[in-house]
Amino acid sequence: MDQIERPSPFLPVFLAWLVPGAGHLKIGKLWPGVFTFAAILPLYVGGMALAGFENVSWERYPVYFWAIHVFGGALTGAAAWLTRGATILERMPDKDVGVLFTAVACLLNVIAISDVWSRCRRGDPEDRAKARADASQPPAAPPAPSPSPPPETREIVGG
Amino acid sequence: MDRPLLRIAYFLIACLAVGMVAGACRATTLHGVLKKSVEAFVQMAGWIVAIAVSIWLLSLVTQA
Repeated sequence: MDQIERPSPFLPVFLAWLVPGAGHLKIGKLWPGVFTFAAILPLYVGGMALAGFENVSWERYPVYFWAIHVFGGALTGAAAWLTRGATILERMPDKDVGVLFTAVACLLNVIAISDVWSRCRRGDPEDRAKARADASQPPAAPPAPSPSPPPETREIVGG
Repeated sequence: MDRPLLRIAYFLIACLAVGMVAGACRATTLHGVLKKSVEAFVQMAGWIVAIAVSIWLLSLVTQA
């Protein structure tokens, strides 16, 4: 039976949705949080730049917005609010790549959110791997008996 | 930048981001996250390049 007390996942998961990496920081995992933030934010903003800063909007792209961009949390909220009056003057040459980048960034945040949930519920991945390795090993053999002294040998002399 | 080079750069940027998140989800320490990120990046980029080359070779075969 698992006797380890785990933190409640709800606040970390909410923070992970709101700001990429914040959920990891909430549960004390600095480097996963830093890497998540450093991966998702540039991809999101870079994608928006490639798409002309008009691809995150519930009016212009409702399907993308409600199916994918909502997982970006505050990033999506800020992007949609700041670009709400954007007008499409010309088609950007790499707009498709930009749309894809922003979508991938939001989906990566889904993975990060699920990792926060998993760490809260089941512990760190290294600990789980160690527990699996321990469980897969055969039980330790009982200690070998100490070597008994050699039996006494008697020389039979004569007949 | 030349278009093919730009596309390769986009591909590598996306792979890097996915690799970083994959590494962040598989380890906790800085060393572990870095190691897992590089592993995931190489694996994913390698698989995608292998699949792309396979499709390209198949298209060559079907055209011949």
